[in-house]
Amino acid sequence: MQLLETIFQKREMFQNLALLLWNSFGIVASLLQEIIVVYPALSPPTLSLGASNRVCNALALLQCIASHSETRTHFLQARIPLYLCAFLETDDKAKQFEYLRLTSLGVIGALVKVDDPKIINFLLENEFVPLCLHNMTIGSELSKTVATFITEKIVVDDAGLAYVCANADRFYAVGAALATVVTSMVDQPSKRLLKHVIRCYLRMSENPRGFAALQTCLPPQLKDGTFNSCLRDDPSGRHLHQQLLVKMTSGKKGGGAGNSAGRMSWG
Amino acid sequence: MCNTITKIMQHYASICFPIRQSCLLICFQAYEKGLMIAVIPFTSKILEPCRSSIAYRPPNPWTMGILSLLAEIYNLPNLKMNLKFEIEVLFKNLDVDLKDVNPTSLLKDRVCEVEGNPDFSNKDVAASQTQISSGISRSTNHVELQSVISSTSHAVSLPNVLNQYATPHLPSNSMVEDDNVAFMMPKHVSSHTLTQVSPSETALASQSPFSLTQLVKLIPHDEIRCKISSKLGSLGRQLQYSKIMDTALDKAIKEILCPVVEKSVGTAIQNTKKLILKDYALESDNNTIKSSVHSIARTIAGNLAYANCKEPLCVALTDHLQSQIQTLTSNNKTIKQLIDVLINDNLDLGCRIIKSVAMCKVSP
Repeated sequence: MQLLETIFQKREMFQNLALLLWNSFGIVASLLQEIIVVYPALSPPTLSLGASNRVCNALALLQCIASHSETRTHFLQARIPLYLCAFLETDDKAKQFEYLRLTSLGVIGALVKVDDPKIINFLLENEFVPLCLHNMTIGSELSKTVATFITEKIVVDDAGLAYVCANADRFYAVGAALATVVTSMVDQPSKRLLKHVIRCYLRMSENPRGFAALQTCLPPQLKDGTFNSCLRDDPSGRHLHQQLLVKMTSGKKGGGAGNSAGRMSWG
Repeated sequence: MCNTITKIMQHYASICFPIRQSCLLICFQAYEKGLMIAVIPFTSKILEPCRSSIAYRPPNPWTMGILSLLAEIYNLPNLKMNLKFEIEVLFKNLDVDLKDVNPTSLLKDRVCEVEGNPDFSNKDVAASQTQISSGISRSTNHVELQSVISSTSHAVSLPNVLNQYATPHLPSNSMVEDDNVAFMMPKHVSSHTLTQVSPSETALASQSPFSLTQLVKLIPHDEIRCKISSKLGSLGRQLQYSKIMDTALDKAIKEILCPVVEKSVGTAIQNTKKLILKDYALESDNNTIKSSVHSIARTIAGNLAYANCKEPLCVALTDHLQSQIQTLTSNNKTIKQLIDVLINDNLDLGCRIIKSVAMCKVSP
């Protein structure tokens, strides 16, 4: 317990901590043990703050392994991200559960930063998309931001975009989660989170079926100027927003193209 | 000396090597037998015309191979000055910088005769002792190399040990969704096994995947004792609820057993294989490895199954309880109350049963 916390606190001091963790005897097995012993406390929710901190320290060390270029592949081949599904599925809003979900999202976020199609495929095959959408819906602003970042990385990938637009159910699930995020920002906008959302919509609009569907389900707050003040001093954000608006409206004003898009069958 | 060179040339000329490539072989033998004082000048004369040759001029790989060996010889301790000079002149004539050439390490495991060797200056006793200790250190390196090979052999044997765990007896399940295809394992059910199935089981197998029948056998029926809260007394007879709960739990478990166990066992095996190969790379005792694999895989499979089955089991139980209790009463509020109490009291039992099946499944 104390050793785990000590390593966690000093993890920034070691350049190759990931390599040391992965190649030392029994370390990864011990970290996994820390994770699975807490499963029974997830439902019914009896997780204590101390136990949550302990698991989060273990997850932070796993994130080091997920971040390192040489250990990332091993991390994936051992299917370690699958141990996090149980945490990402929880919906208790208590602080210890929120912290657990956020740290788990951090591990996944570290994996997707490198834009590797193999990693995206792993996440698609193992149904991480619904888990991200779940956290976009119930999470705190920080969890929403990380979950939306992961979703953005997934739809930026060609296989990810095809996955999301493959059928109406999936597309509307993603759209609904993004809409929930937008709605949650009306009172307290977050520039960073808003930009992730806009990038998701922009990317989804590159798919013909996605473009047609967004005509009807793009949140009105993105069109009525609700977020203008939020992006006023952010040129790149403003540019993204205008890009999205132009794309959505040009479809209608495009004449033949617009009519064609409008008539395209959906689902 | 001329006779020696002639003999060497005649010996290697009989082999169909290019004459320049033969220099490599000559240098090896010369090094061992203290003949470099003759062979280095010979090699130098042979290679000098390469400069004007379109094919053999540096960086021709054959030529560079010989030059790399000469660079190694040049770096040998106590090499005679005239030999060093000969090599330097050769490199200069070929416009190659000695520093730009990566020396080979082909002579490290070769032992040269020290006594009376004309290739090295051994004017003082200290130099001779250096040669002797150098020979000893070479011998030590050889031993270390052998131990490295030995370790590698142990590591290579690990995959064979783990193969029996890497392919568990999990027949393919046609009901598994496409998203779970990654977890489907090759089918290992032999026709002999199929013919052993009794008629009733055959009928069952024809209606559902064979794997369900197999997994159901692993369910510890003796441990199943549903808990019926006394609070339900006011809502009806306990015996009635006990029967309903037994039936619903049995159906719900069978419904979700295959996908949950399959996914948990697949992940556990993949993970265990990766960890054992890493942590026990140098372990030579197969029994130690097997017991560790067994212990880790069971723990992981059981806990993963436990964590992953709770929600689907709850959903399945709700459905089955609802359909059965509706025959008793039409009061929706009462039905919901009954279902909540029954599930709260027995969900953990169902999870533990599934955990037990997963742990049994992962064991060989």
